[in-house]
Amino acid sequence: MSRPADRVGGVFAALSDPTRREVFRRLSAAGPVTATELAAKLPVTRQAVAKHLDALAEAGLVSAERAGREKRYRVTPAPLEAAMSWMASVGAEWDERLDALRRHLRRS
Amino acid sequence: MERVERQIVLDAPADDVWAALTEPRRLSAWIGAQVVALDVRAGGRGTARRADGAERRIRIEDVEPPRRLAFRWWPYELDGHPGPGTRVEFVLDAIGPAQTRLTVTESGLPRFVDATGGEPGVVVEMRA
Repeated sequence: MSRPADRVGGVFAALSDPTRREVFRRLSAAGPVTATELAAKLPVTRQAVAKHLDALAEAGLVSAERAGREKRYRVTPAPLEAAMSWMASVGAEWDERLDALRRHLRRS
Repeated sequence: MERVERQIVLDAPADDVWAALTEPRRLSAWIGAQVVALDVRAGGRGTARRADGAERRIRIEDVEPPRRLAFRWWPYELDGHPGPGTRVEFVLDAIGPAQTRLTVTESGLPRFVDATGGEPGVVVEMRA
């Protein structure tokens, strides 16, 4: 069984490309939209937008549904929220580890 | 958030704290995973295993016993995207013969900034 933190790498990888982030950002503001509609507002081809949308879908960040000839895409932010809360938990994890280290040193 | 730092004063000599940071059996007692192997020298490798079997790779970067230890590790990744991982650095400062101040810093975390600013949905900036 995987946990949200296991998908963190995929989310970071998907959002590491600046154009892809821009696609995601515009989709967040305007979804559901088609790849053609997104490409009309960006200095990249429709084909490039479609590839970015595929990469975002692979990370679970967007979903698509058929609507006529083209698919309509919308964001599914749960993996991003999971990645953000994973990062926020890093400090708390160290607090737990250091408490456990202190207890370990007392016992030995 | 780019780095996380924590500090603690431990009632143990620096050599003992160093052993707790570098011996797999002792690391496993507090780090939150079973450390099955750790080759403690620059470039040395290690593996931490979670209860469900997922593994986490460790690679030692700096070793200066008993004062400084740094390694790079990667989240438990099941989706094949290791990325650059994060760097963990321990600095040990002896406070007399029986106490040690330990500082841990984890750095290299990507920064996500929620930039909704009134727009619907989640809009993000990512800064390296």
